Amino acid sequence: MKALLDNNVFFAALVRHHPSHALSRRWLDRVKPGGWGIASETYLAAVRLLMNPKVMGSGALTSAAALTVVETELSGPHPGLVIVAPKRPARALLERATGHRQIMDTWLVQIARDTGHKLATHDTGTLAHWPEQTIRVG
Amino acid sequence: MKTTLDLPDDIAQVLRLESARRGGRKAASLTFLVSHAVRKTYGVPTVKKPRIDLTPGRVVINAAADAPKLTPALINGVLYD
Repeated sequence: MKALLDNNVFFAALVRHHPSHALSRRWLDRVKPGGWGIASETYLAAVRLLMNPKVMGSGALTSAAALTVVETELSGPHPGLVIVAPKRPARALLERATGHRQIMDTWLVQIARDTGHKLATHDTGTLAHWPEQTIRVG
Repeated sequence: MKTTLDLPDDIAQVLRLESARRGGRKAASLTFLVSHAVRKTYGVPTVKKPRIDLTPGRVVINAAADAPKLTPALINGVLYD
């Protein structure tokens, strides 16, 4: 099963000072040959985080540098897909969110489901809520 | 930042001479000399750039020394900002 990475897994793999960096980097390097990708929302979230001084300190990247980082990670011998949601948000799924912070996770679960992926995440809540559509990173 | 400095004649003369001594405007512009003097005098910290290992398919960013300690709460806060 191909993996669709959530925001935290993808960003953690890129940035050494993220507490889950080593775990995410090792895991991503291992699963890449089996097929992987990120949603366009995750692509943009990574760019936003890389450009933000609250996250990167004085090393916040320019937009050009942040885009190069993301595109370079997506390239290489096992390139990743950037997946644009093929369907509109599914009410039946999103209605199961119990708080506003779960909406994006649920949306990523839907994109994974609709495109033949499983959502790869560290988030225990998402893993517990969607066991059939998720993969634990680690 | 682009600005105008009204320098005393003696200071302007020192800057011109120092610029000439270092090879002229291209080698040592007045902007460069003033910036260098300010940094030396007032201890402006140098920007510590992150080091980025850009291997196709495997990028690792070694953050700047002043990068904050990251937590899920900080990242979520920034994304929902």
